[in-house]
Amino acid sequence: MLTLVALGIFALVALVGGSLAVMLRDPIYAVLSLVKAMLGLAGIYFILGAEYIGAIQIIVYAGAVLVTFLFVVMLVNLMPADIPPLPRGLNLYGAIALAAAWMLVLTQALTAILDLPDPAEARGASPDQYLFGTLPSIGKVLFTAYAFPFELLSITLIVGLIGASVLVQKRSEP
Amino acid sequence: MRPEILYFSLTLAAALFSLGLLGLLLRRNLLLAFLCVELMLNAANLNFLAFSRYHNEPTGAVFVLFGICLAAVEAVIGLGLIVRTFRAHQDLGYTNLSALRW
Repeated sequence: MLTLVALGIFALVALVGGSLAVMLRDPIYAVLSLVKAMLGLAGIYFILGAEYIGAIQIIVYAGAVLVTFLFVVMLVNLMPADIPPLPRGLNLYGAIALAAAWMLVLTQALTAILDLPDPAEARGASPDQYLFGTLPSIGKVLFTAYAFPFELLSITLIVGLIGASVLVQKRSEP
Repeated sequence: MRPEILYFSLTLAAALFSLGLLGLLLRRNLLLAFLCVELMLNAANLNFLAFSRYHNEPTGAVFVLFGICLAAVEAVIGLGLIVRTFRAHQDLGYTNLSALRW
């Protein structure tokens, strides 16, 4: 019961943060609302039992990625007056209808799996044995079955680093 | 894990993904549209983690880890492109990206 209440609170935080990020005119406020949504999601990760992923979510997403967004907002000197207002009339209603229809499709897909058996109960595991999100279990899988993708990921990070520095450097005109 | 937590997480992920899609359709600014893409990526991560918890398998959590790393790379490259677009046009409308056409 307490779990569901806490889940509901964090879900509310995430939803309010997400919708403010979509609607707010001021770019700084929009980015900070998205930080709020990320923190709410991190809380949900904690409740689901994935402490490590929740910490990574806070450090990498709320801490690094969105701060980079804030840097760019200040770098291009984006003011609330530079942001076009949200479209009105048919465009607005059409976009809302499309998003609502997509939400309907996703939740309909949910009902297709509604009758799944509880796999942990079927296996006879006790509810306290949910260790999937702890660091040892993640590390064991990451460095055995997914060691090669992990190495590829480091190459991807280097490529992203070099690409970003090449993209934003100022070139002297020949 | 009680199945209702799985359904709750999946419904929340669907709602967040649809919010991100709505923002992508409504925003007329590259930077703010990019913000909505991040929201959609997070909804996908929540799905991975909910199923990982449901099956009590760490593989989904590992995929979330990969997803977060790739999202960081994607954000850096996208923001680099946005800065370049702003330097070239002094404006961040969608149509300015057509300069990237090959």
